[in-house]
Amino acid sequence: MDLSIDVGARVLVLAKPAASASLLLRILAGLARPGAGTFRVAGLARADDSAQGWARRVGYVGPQAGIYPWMSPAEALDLAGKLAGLDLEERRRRAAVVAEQFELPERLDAPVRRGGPALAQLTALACTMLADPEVVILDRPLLALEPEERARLLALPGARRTVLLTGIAPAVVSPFITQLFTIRMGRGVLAGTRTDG
Amino acid sequence: MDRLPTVTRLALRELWITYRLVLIVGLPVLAGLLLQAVPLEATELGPVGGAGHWLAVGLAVAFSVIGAMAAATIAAERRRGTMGWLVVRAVPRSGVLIGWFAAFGLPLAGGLGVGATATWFGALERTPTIPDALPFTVASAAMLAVGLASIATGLLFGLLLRPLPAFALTLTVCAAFLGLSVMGPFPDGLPPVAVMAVLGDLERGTTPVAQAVRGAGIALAASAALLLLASAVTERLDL
Repeated sequence: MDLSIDVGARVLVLAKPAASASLLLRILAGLARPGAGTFRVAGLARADDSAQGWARRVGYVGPQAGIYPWMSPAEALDLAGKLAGLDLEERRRRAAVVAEQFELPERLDAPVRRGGPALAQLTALACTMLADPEVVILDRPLLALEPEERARLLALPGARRTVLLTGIAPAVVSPFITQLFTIRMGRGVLAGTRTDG
Repeated sequence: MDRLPTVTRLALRELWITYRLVLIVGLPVLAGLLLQAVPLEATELGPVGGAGHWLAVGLAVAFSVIGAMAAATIAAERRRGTMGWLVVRAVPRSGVLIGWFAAFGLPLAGGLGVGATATWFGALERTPTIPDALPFTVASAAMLAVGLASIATGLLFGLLLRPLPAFALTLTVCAAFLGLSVMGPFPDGLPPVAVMAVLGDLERGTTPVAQAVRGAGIALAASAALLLLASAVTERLDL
């Protein structure tokens, strides 16, 4: 499969079977290995030999938060900032911004297990946005939240930020989706639906 | 690799919070105390030989369990997405693996040091003269390489299997290799963990120090080979 997505596109990936969309996003995130094909998103080429550079510019949130249940959102954000190479001051500044954006301030210091899957998923998304990635890949994100709340939180800011997502009803995300990428029988088709973002 | 200390600290904290760190340190310490529970007459060896033998027996059990824990841990890390969480943040896959290897190896070294010291003091209580400590010390220190090989084995199986099968397979393989090297019909032990046989029978060899150093080298080489294999496996895995 070949895929090329422009800068600033907001793409909803639909597939039959649905697992194909998830697999595509996992390949783009560097979690799964492609058998063949070329992948180009926002001018970045996905190639195994440049995986490190790719990972620094691309953020991924999957259905599993991937955060230790004993961690608090504050600890997870700090760790994400450290791994993004941010200094202490910048980590704190950005953590405060994303915590506000994803409504975490009141729950920042309690272990994520106390807040259930919703808090873990919100923390995972906040950790991703902390690094301010050019490309955000969302595979069935925020499943534990109500559809309206999901749609509101998934309208990520940044006109030049490219977003690919799957596992969410088109009607829920239609206000901010600009393109559809459909996969059927192993072949993908990109179709523009809106240009006003 | 600049993220290795961060990953290792994270892994150590996970081990601490889930009490596994207590086992990693405690099992070699318990192995060192085994001599206290075994009458000297249980072996035909002298005080130092007996001390080495029972320490080797205890460590064979401890390393098998710790290797199996490493297997279950890395398999669980992979399945619950915590390994993927690090990988999508530009931590190399092999870096995650090395971080976990260090998180298991560092406390194991501490526990082994305490356990071997306890065994040595136990041996001193059983002899009126102060024996030469060098062969026992070198052979005990060489056991760290065997422990690391057990952890590397566990990490490799943990990447390939689900937590429970990985735990069971590592426990079986390590127990077979280590047990047969100490108590089996192979006087020189089974490579690559032949150093177990050196510690298990310190009074038999004419050059136990040289044998222990050589055995440690072989076990370290085996650990490195297993880690390289595990790194190659993890590069091809879907996380």
